[in-house]
Amino acid sequence: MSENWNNAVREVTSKSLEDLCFLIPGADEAAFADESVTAAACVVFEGPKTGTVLIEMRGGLLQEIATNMLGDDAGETHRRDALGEVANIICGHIVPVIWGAEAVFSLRRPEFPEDLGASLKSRVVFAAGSVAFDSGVADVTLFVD
Amino acid sequence: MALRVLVVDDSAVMRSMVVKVLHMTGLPIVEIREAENGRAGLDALELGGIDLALVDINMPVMDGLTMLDNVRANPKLASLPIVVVSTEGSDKRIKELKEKGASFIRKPFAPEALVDAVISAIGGG
Repeated sequence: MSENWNNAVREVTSKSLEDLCFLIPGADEAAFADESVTAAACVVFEGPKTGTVLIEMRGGLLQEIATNMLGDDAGETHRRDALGEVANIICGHIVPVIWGAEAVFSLRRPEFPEDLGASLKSRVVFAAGSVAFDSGVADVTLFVD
Repeated sequence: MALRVLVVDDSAVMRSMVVKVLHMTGLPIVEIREAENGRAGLDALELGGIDLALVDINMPVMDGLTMLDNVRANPKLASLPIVVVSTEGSDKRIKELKEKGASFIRKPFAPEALVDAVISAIGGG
């Protein structure tokens, strides 16, 4: 993995969550070291390269995202919808950063696989990064086929 | 000019956010309708009374690009102002959308950017 691309993943994730739901990164990731993944979504991209962007959230991050997007009445369906939209936006922004704005990529709809370990984690990791917020951590991994 | 707007996105969260932002913009919007895919969006447009459509690309049943092609091929709808609201923002895709007479705004967006895109689409900018 190139550290440049890992930084790009972190920067895109920070900016996407800041612009979409007003979250400011910079919290101490170590504070969430023992937190398990509470939600995950992935988006497949197809174009000059094919691969998948996976986002996993630890702590109370997803609840804060959904609340910031929708208000206090965000239920389970809305949280899942919000997670998918975040995954879609991060995927849509990271892919052209890495492979250039001239390249045309199509994104599939977000998926919420229950067991990501078997399906994704044996694949090649192209880049990965984590961003900590006050309520939790977003771990983003870009796999290529 | 009073605007009746159709928001087409399969994400209820994004539709809700777009509607919220539209209400914040100060644009003269009198009605906002919603549809969850391109097919439902076309059905809503064919009922009439819509002045502007905001359309996502990546949707089930019918995607936004197919919906745009159908709108432009329909003599009753061909001149409808459309703003494509999507995360997919390659230079080639934006050029393609412009050639089809659509404006483009990339998610996530600031309210000011949405105002600019709407004004551009309805011919005021």
